[in-house]
Amino acid sequence: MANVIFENITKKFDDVPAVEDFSLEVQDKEFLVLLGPSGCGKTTTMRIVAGLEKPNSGKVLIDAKDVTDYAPKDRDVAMVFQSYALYPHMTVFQNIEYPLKIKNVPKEKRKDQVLETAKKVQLEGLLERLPKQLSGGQQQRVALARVIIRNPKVFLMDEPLSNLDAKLRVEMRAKLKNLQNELGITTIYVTHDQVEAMTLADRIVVMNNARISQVSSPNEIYNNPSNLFVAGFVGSPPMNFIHGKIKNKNFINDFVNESNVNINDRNEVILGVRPEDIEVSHDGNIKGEVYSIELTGDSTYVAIELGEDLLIAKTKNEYKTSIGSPISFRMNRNKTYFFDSESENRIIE
Amino acid sequence: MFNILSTDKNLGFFLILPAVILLLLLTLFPIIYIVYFSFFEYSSNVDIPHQFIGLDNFKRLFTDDAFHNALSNTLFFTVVAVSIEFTLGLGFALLVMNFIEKVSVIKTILLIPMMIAPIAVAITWKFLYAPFVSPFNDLRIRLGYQPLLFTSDVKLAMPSIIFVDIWQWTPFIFLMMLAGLASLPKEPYEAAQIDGASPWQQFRDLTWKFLQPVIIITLLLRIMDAFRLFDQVFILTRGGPASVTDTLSYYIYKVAFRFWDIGWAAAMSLFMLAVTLIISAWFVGKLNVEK
Amino acid sequence: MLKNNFKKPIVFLSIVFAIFYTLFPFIYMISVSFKIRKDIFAMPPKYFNFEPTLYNYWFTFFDQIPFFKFMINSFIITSVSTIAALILGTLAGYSLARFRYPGNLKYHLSFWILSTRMLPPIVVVIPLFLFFSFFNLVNTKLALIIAYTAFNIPFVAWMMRSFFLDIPKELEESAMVDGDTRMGSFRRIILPLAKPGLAATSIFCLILSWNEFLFAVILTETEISNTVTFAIALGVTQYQSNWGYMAASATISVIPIIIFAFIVQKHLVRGLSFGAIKG
Repeated sequence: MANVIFENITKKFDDVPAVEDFSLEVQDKEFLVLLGPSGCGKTTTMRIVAGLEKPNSGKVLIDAKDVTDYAPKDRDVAMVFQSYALYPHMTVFQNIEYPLKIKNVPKEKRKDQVLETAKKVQLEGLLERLPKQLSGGQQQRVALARVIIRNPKVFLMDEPLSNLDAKLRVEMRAKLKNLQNELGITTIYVTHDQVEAMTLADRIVVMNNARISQVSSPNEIYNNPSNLFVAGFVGSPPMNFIHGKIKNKNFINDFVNESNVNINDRNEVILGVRPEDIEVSHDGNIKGEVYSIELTGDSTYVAIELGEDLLIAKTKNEYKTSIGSPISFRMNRNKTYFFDSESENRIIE
Repeated sequence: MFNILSTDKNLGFFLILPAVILLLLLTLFPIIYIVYFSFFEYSSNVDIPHQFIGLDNFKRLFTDDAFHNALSNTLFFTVVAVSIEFTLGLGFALLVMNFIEKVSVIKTILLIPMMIAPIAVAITWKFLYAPFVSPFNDLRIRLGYQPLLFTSDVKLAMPSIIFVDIWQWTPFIFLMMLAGLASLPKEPYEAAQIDGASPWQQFRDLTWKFLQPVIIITLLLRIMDAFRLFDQVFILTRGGPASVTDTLSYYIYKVAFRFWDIGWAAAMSLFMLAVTLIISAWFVGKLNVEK
Repeated sequence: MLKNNFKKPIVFLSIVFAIFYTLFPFIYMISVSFKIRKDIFAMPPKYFNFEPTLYNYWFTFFDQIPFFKFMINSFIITSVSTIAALILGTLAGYSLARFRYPGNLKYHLSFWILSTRMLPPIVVVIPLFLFFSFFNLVNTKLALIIAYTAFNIPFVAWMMRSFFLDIPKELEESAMVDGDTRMGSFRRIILPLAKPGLAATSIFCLILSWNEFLFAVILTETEISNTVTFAIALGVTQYQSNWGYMAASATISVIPIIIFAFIVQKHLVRGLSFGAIKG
């Protein structure tokens, strides 16, 4: 049972907290994604699991064993680095073989395992090349082969796809998910790309400012965000936010008036609604002038200005308009979210 | 099971320990010795024991004319030699900047003066400065002039030493500046050109600023080396004529190994050490600020 | 356009001038080493029209002083001190490049190590002489080896630190996660990658030790430990007017260095700036 448990992990670098009070249980065979902007603490958290950073307080357990004080080599984890960390002076074969070599696996056995692993990532013809002779995608597959051959308790991946071009990235995403499913190894994956997180994860841990913001399945994260940060981070284009207040079960600001809001009176509230949940409609209750139009190929995004807020709606491509024309929107009231302005937490109606 | 980071921390300490111990042995102990010596007076007469004279050797730093002479010679040498070397080195580097990159053979040839033993350099120039054998003087004689007594003429001795130093070390500055110039980013210059900046303005506002770290290191190394000039003086002029080329290092050598006044030599050494540390600290401070 | 046309010949000429100006003193000295005494002092000097002779070299090697022994001493002292400095200095450099030190220690330690290079040799020569004579080490090769090792360590440490910083630390981390120890990864991964750095650094150490003068003169007395630089100095102290000898001994000392210089071409800048500038 290769589960990973974090107990109140805290890590500071020179008094600056990088990870604060991080507690989580990663299930056996789970594909867990740590998602967040740069500097949120996701990479540090993963490096703590690897043993490359020592936490200031707290414990890490792998497979029910407390490994907090163990050296990396004693933890049975394998890691793919963002830069792949291939050994430049060794051939692909030697790179993949390395983990076995230092464990003194006999030569013949090493050879067999390397060949078998190379097949899994389609690297058979490239075994005698040096890393600098490989393309980015090929290098990445070598990095993968190196962790696969380890057959560890946990896979750790630090933004392994970020150095690939967009098309390759989509391809490798699918392959990775497939591979992990087939091998059944617990995986902790770090990324700042929310599309990657949504497509790969069994669960997502959204991190912000050294803390956990929310832990849920991708679906929950998307449709049931627990705070403003998560709501705004996941989803592209991002969720619209409108500032206003609630009075007599109405959300009011200078431009919008939404009724049937089942929340007590509050002075400062933020309404959130995704572009795909706003439709253009002639009898919509939100009126304004077109501020901008963006065509993306499969849809059109139209924005209107409401004081200091910008409201973006997603419409079908057939809809034609121009900047400055009057337009009106209507929100899908089933998909509106309310957040407290100060605490940024979600207010459930 | 190891505690990785405490092992790591200890490992870092142990890796550097042997080096530190050896260095301590050969730097700290000598310095302690020297401090000890500086409080005594020694004489060349073996029968007279050394006497404790407290701070007298240090007071002598303010009064001894020979010491002041050596100090001013050294300062003069350092300032003049390094300034000229720096100007020539930087100038030449700017000139050949884009032409010389590929041909590292040329660079290597130009560097030979500084890679060979300083005393071999000194011997080389001993020939060139010789009163009659020197090709320079040969030329002068053919043109009807008297030969120049480079190393025995009071007015020429120091310039001669400076010239040798320039010959030997300008290539060093040249190479450093060249490397620095090669790493300059292109965009700021393009932007400046579009904005109408002249070559001089580009140099003053961009090149000079970008080169700061390289310049600082180069100057530091050069000034430190010039300050401790010894080999050339030993071979070419022996501190003369009339002590015009007596540099600090050479004077200390004379005091210690000819006059055997080790206490006085020690006090002067401490002075030299203090100056060295202050200058390096200042330079390194500037460097860190840059970073 | 005009400026470019103007520039090229000027640059070319100045490079030619620089090369001539650099090489002329050597060529002259080398020519002196091949002249017989009469020709050396001939007035006007004979530039090309002399009969070359090997007498000076014969004199250097076979007369008066055991020059061969001096050369062997130099070789031994230079190579042993270089190897010792490489070992101690590389480990120190690795420590500085990769490990965390408490507080400001690293800055102070680095500065102290750097400052030992700034030390004027004259300052330490006297106490070192006394130190070594206390252990009866004066006039031994060991004394110079110890001294040169100590003086080369700062250089090696700074250079190797610079080379190590160029290697991404992910490589060691990857190796450690895969089951290697820190020093294991150092041996298997980092050292092979740092080979060019080691080579360049060692050559600079060789040059420094081979050329060293003050210590060689003061800490040695007889042929047991005298070095080539000492031999050259004899030309000034003992053989006052034997210019042929001076030229020959200096030439011999210079040849290995020139060869070394060409070997290290690529790393010259880094070596000269103490690892601070990559060049």
